Amino acid sequence: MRSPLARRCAGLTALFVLVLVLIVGCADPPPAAPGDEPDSLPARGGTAVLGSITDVDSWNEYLSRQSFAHFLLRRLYLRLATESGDGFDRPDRYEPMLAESWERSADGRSITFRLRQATWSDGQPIGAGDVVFTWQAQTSEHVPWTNAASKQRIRDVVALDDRTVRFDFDGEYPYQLADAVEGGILPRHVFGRVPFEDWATHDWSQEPVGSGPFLLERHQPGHEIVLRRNPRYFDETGPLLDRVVVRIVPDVVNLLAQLKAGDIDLLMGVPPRDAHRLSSADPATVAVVSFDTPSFEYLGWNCARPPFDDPLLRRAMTLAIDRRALVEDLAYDYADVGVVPVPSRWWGAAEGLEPWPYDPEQARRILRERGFATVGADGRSQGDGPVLELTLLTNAGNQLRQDSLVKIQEQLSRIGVKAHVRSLEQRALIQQASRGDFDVYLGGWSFVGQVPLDTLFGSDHVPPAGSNVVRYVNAQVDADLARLRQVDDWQEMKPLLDEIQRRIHEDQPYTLLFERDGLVAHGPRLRGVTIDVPADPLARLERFWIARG
Amino acid sequence: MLRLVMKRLAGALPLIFGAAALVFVALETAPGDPADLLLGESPVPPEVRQRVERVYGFDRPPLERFASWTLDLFLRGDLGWSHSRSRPVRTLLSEALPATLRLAGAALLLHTVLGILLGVLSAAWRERWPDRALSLASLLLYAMPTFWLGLMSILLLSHVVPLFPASSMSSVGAEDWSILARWGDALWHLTLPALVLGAASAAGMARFVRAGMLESLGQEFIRAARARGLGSGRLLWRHALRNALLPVINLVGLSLPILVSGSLVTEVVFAWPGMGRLTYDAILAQDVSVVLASTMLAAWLVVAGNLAADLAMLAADPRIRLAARRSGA
Repeated sequence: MRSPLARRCAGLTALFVLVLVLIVGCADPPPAAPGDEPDSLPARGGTAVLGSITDVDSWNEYLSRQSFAHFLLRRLYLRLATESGDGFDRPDRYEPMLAESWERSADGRSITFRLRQATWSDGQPIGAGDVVFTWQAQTSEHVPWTNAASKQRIRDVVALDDRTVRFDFDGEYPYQLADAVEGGILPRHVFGRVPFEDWATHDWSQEPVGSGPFLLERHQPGHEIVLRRNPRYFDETGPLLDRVVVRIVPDVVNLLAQLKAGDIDLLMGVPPRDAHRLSSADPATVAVVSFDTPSFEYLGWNCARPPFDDPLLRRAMTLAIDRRALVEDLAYDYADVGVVPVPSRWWGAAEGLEPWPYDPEQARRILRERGFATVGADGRSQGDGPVLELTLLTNAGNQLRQDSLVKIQEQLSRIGVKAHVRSLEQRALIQQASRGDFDVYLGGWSFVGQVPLDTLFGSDHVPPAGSNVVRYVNAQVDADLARLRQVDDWQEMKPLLDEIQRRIHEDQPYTLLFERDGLVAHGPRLRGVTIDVPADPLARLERFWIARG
Repeated sequence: MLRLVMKRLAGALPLIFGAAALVFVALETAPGDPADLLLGESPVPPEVRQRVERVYGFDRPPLERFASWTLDLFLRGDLGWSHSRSRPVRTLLSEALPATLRLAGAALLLHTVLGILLGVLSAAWRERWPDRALSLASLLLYAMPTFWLGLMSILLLSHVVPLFPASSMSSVGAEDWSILARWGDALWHLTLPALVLGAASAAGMARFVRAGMLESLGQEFIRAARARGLGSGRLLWRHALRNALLPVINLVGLSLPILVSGSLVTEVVFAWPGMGRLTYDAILAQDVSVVLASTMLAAWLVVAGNLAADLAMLAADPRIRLAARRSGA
């Protein structure tokens, strides 16, 4: 009885193993390490495979809210001009894209763009009408674009002829060019077929007409995105890659393993710990690239709730936290200690401000002056007041934040502050923070475009009217913010920005923990990986190339 | 039989609608609102937030939104719009369902074949070491959480011994290959997740089959057959197993919805773009339309699984057929 069954099983197993051997055997051999072959000239052709834990939420830039989607959308729909990434000592300069040139009017209230001779991927010419249409979409009340505020000061956009378009502003100010070129230009003959009222419920993945170096070929949600080279891209040198495939895998450990195995070529959003492991364990196989990205992790103190309504007590909390140790232990040096919540490499960042040092002794002294008992460096109680207790909140599911809070809890306990750590589901945390029902929470920011000092620190921007979640109120900061809105010249803005940041630094409504670097890792097959535009790791995607062999 | 099918389907409608209503209430009573999730942590002006709420209808009362979703479903067959994926829910389901059916179908096959095979062998070697080893293995597999089993199998069979891919349904560029190569590639990608999903439930099935076989082997007709000199193989596979299969048919029917819902974890672990991952992501994004539609689909599968099991029982057992005929079903 058992023999025929056993024979059949053995036969089936052998067949299965044979199929497996054939499949595995047909796979490409592992790529050589970068050091194994001499640098060669960039080659055309090939497919780069990117790994991502997030999917694209919409193929319409004005409906998408995800940074990853924007990295790809910016390769499909070009802007009039693009940041050169040199905004360290003055507002960013811009490089021509769809516009070949531009000039400011004598009164400084208009900018006129001259479009280059270029076509959409379906052969239709790109014209001034597309620019006007895009501005209408950006400002439509039916289009929930999160960056719509950038168009607030543009009064009108006028097509002067087929290739000339003028932007009229309500006054002269330093961000005119940045505001004008914000957002990709859309093809009116495709997007105009759908009324703005219906944009939010239209499937934009079915509209593969673009102007950028790549076009959307296919998107299978939760699985794969395929971009292909745009044969009508205005730059004849064009992208070097034929195709870009994005594999969507919601688990970073899985993605890292695929990167090491050579199944994917580039992984974005690498956690610092894994970046450290990759670069120290196997630098020949995987290269880690860090880049500027204006994102912060911070502790937000409830400035409306005693005793955290006292700026000096908040400063004591900052002094008690060894942020350098957090950067080294948790961010593996892929971060800097934050000073104030503006990117340190931004031209508007205040010069001369240093992060508050780690000084637990001074923190103890401030606490005792305010009547709280502390614990000395020797572990003995000091003072006979009550112990300061607080609850540290953060969102569940973010390991870096959870680890940070555990370390902060331990550091605060060294000066006698009893901190309770609590993780909440993201929605619950946002709701509780908006209600003002918290002592302190650990959160994060990523800035796109300008730093919204107004909505973060203006006393009239306390929720629900704005994002001043910590309820920070300082009359002098309010006055400086109001003056800032009236200033037109960036050189005149600088002292005001410095002053606002100095006051925020003194008052410490936020304890800035890290200013994080963006991290990508890539395998040896992918070459030409240059990231020189802050917060846009794929800005030079068209210059990426695949090594032969 | 047709009457039975119609009766069951009609009875299922309130059940399915009730499940959707319960899920809606659960989502609405969860803290926070979807606009917060859409906009994330970074600061946005209040007017942008209001615009998002208005355009996606988050500012409308919950009852109004549910009524509108229900009316659209019954009057126009429209399952709504996914605000987190910017696609019609119907499109998302039509893309995700085949992936889940492929995985659940393969898992169901493994579950049934492996479960029966192990159960029969276990019963044949009752109380001997192969039975004990199979029982221990079954219990271990049954007790293991699916996500852990998935992660361990990826670690062992994708990384330590790189035999199978760790994620996805196909290789990059597979669409340009020949049909045979595409099939082989699909099978290669399917093996590990189907094994994980099917093996754990096969362990339960094996225990069930073993119990049924032991009961069957102790019955008079088996003793009589053995006395007539029937070979042990024929006795085991043709007579005892056939008798023990009736409750197994029922179990297989009920396993379909369990495997489909159980595929949620497996799909997340293996990045399999099916219903489970779609629902999981939708719950996190508070994407009500997607969660409601996938709940209703899962409820339909429960009904269909039950119905399929009943019909199979009717076909397999003349006693049940007779009873059904007498009761007028």
